[in-house]
Amino acid sequence: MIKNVQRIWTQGVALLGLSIIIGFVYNSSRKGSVPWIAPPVQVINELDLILQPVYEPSIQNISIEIAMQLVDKEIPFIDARDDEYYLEGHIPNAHSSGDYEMLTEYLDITVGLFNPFVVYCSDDDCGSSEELAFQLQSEGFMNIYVFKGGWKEWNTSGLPIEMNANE
Amino acid sequence: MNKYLQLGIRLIVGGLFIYASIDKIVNPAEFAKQINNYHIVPFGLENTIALILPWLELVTGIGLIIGFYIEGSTMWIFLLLISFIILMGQAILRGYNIECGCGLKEGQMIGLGKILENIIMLIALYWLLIQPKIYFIIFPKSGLEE
Repeated sequence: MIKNVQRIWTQGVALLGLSIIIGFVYNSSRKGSVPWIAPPVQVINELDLILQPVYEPSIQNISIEIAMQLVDKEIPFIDARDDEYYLEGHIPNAHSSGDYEMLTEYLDITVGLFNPFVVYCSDDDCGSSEELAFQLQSEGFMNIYVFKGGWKEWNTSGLPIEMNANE
Repeated sequence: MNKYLQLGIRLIVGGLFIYASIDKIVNPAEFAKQINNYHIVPFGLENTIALILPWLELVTGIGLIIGFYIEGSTMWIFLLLISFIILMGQAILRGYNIECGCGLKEGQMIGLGKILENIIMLIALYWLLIQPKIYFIIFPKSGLEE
């Protein structure tokens, strides 16, 4: 049956086209239709909301202003960069993600599943903070915030930093 | 014997694809979240995939079973199985412990067992693809039974 490549190709395109049409019609006609492009992760600017426990899986972005306030409130920060960068400098009291098992134990003990904590990496182009956030979400942590500006925005804003080792 | 083996493979693989598509069709938002957990789809396209892929699974599953556009259906299922293997493989290598979003069983996690299942189906479909003659087909008749 593999002999006629052109026929396979034609049928394949027809089947894909049919699926797209049915998917479009079905989604347009159903109650609570889903947008075709997912909206980006929401940025949250209300400190009171952030400090409350959350019981549904949630990952949201925060600005540097909120990040500063959360550091003052001693909300845990997790540094998703490699250890060598963490040791060179990090947000005060941030915890390194180098040893993943130790990190989840630390979060279990200090944060619990429903309270907030923040993940960051080098800058808004790096994906490791979001990657770590989703990984931690799959472990059951519900209330995760991503500081997208990361180390670069923090450091260039002249905010206090810490240069000692983990803990 | 050969024709009943062909039919058996088509019923099992096509049936699994049809069954797997139902929950995804009913809950596209949930399926989009499961796609997003793989962290490989950019620009919010997980929703687009979640709205099309289940229908493609349903249409090709039916096509495979009843023999409608069977070559195209077989090719699509073959390509989808390869994609699923790559998706799960990269997630396992990156240390994710996530639901597979396969649609067969709620809460089923990714793992080597799931990859093995897909490889077995892939081998069966490859065997089907290289058959000189395919039996029990509806449309198009001409050329399919060469």
